Amino acid sequence: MDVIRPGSLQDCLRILKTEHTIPIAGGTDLMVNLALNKISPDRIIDITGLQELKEISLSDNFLKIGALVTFSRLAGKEIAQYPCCNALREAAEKMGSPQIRNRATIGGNLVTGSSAGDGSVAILALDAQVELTGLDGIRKVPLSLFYSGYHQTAIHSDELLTAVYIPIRPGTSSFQKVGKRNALAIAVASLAIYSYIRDSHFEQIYIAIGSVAPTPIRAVKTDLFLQGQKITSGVIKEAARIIQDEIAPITDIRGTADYRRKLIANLLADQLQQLSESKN
Amino acid sequence: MAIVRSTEPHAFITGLDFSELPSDILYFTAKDLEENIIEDAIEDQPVLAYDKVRFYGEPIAIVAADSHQKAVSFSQKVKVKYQKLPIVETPKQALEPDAPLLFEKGNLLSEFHHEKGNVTESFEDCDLILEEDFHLPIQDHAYMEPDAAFAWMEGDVLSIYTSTQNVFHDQRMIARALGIPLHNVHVMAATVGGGFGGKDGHTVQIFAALVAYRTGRPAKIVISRREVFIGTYKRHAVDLHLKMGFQKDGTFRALSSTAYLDTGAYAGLGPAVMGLFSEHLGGPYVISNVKIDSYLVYTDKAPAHAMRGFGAPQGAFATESLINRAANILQIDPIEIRMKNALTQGALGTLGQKMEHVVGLREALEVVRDSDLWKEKNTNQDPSIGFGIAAGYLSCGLGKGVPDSAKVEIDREPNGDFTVRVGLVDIGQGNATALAAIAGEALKVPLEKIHLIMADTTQTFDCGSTAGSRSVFIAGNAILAAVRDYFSHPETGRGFAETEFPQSKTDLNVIGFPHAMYTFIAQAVKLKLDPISGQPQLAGIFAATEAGKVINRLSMDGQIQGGIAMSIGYTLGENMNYRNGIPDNQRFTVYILPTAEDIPPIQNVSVELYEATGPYGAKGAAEVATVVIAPAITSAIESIRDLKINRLPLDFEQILDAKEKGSVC
Repeated sequence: MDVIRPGSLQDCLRILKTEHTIPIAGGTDLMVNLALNKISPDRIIDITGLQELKEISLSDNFLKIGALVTFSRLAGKEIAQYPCCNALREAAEKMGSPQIRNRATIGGNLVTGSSAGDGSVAILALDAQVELTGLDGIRKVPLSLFYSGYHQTAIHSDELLTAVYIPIRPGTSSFQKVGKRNALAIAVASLAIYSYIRDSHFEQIYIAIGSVAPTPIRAVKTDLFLQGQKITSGVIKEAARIIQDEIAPITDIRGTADYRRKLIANLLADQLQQLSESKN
Repeated sequence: MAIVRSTEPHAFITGLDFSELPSDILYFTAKDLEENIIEDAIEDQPVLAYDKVRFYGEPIAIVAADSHQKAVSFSQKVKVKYQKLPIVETPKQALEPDAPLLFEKGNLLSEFHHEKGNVTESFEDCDLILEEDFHLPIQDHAYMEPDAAFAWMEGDVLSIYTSTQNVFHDQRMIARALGIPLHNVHVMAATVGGGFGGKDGHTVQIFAALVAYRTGRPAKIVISRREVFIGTYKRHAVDLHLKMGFQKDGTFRALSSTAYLDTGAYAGLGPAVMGLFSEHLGGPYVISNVKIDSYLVYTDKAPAHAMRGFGAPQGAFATESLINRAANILQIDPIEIRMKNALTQGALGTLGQKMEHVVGLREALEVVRDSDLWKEKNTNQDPSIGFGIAAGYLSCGLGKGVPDSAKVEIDREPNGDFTVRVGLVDIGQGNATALAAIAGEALKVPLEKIHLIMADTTQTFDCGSTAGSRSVFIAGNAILAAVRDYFSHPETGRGFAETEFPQSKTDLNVIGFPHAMYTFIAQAVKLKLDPISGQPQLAGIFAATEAGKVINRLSMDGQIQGGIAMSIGYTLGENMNYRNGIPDNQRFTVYILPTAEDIPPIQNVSVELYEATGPYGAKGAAEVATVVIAPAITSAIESIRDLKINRLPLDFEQILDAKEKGSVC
């Protein structure tokens, strides 16, 4: 197995064209898969030298986060200044451990396509788009269309996920997860909400959930129900009921399907309760 | 080096095919051993399986190459042919009449029955009887350092550095398996990265020794974490039915138990674990009427063996849970009910064994009662916060009838320093620090003038295993005796002594228990339940420990905190779950150890009673802290939710589903 460190994005994309070649950034998922013999590439492209993928910038009301931005940075002040991106900062704070947060990148978290990916679930609630770059050009894909199946995404093997674009809007977002312990925990269930409340009513709300389906998913029916509603205890109860019907989790080593359903309902109710108390 | 391991939990081996190995890759099987047995109390385990495999991950062959990577990749090319056999998954299934057999002698390895007083009649006199079925899981030691050994030949002598708790036992088992004289085997303990009982037996020593001996070349083996999970010793899973009878005033009147201990595929130290389980089951209390029936059973799992606490945590979980529920029903303070029944010096324990040494349980309970953490229980207004307590004890020493001694030599060097030779291993707990301090104090020289040589079969004498919470006590006493010997003839520049561990005067006609001496604890926990997940967040633990006089307070606190952390894991998430004979948990990703974020602040206060027979008043303290934090935690949860927690690890869903205590609907 060869490891190649390209000097530019163009070089990187050229090498990526060759068969059995995969990029590595933080390696926090990829190295595990290598160790378990789940993948056996001929070439690994180390993209960590590509400085242009490490930028965070704001233009046209979109926050562009480079694919190589680490979770440690996402948990820091660069994101904290945008209330609508709180969910991402909160997810970054809770992901893995300090060692993993120092290495793991947002791009890696997204392309791994794990249903339990903390960053993925948070960003999914933020109505974000991903930038996929190939030799033939750049395409932008809404994150809600990016995931196609269990650990499968819309990215082609010769493309690199180069950035994620998050619309900067009024409103706030939040992220919560339940793991089997307080750190280094893969989510048993996770839930993120972006919402904008005007005159006590939801002007806009997007809910994303993790670890209840093959991919992170949006709770569209629950969104629709909450749209235009005022947060009352009755609404919270009904939303918690709808979201349980909307999902079809499985039983695995981390929890039963029933437990996951209850967790999602409780996570939703708790975050809605917090929203009602903060008065937005 | 690499190990070819069984991919079947129970099967006959019908063929071994090494034909894909090139000539520079060497392999070794049972045929290369002079005697294919792991020397231990019960000799049922082969070094390498040859006719039959009895658990998934059992070693079958060794592959050696000039690099680890090569050895591993060629070990995967060895083909093992199996004739599959039905699996024995649980002790109860193992004892069914038509159960498949691991050994021709049957699946029941050992049993222990004890009756004291009149149990049947005394239950009739009780005001309250509680009985439940409990289940305790298999726990892995999760030591940081995987099992490892490095062996080489020097002339006729096979030398080996290994990760171990007992170099002299290693020497005997290597010499026997290879058929070479004892004096040609030189074993040294490397700095050990944790053992907790899991390295008190065969890990990989014979494998490295075999390759070095057969090839004449140095041989190194370090197993992977996956191999540690699937292939090494574990804590016994236990299924038990416990019944306890109480009087209105809180007196513990009667106890009866039927327990099945799952020892996995081979005995290991299982019979001794069943002994200590039975001995400690009733807890540190006076109970006049006791009936204990314990069964030790083979199943197709990795062998269960010694693990810190050695059978005591399993029984204590059941007993302390029932005591806490009884206190609640009888409306007696959980500390008072324990005070009332507490063992004192001279009292008789569960098996009728006399407390021949200092007993500080009441003192420990008092310290907990006066702690800020416990006082907060009375002022707390938050319904999601709960408090729980449990008390326990653990024996020191190897127990009745087991040779339990230490030989120590002290030599004065020309510069006035002293060399102290102790055959025990420092397994990371810091007994070297304590022993050096004892030697320095007795010889009246500063610590830096003491030079310890430990755990070397050539340079030290057999002191037995670093196990049974014995090493500071037994070696400390031997050092003191050797110092006395030195002072009786200082002109020789040498002192030598052998001392023995005190043994119980009670004889139950079994080997390994009861014990003469115990260490006592009382531990309280404060926790908050997360209403979203049902998970407890531990907020604080207060521990009171009576382990005699403390030699080194810092390492004492480390022992107590480490023991508690280990059993927090046992409570919250650790579990080797076997399905169809294959463990689900083969990686740390799915074997949920607690991290620093899960461990609350732990305060330990030592009740420093003076044990007259111990070195400067000390008893053993290595294991006791693992024994009762689990029932303290579950009791705290039961104080705020309406449920009974009868199995570990915690089922967060069960807690989430349980109603708040006192709620109506």
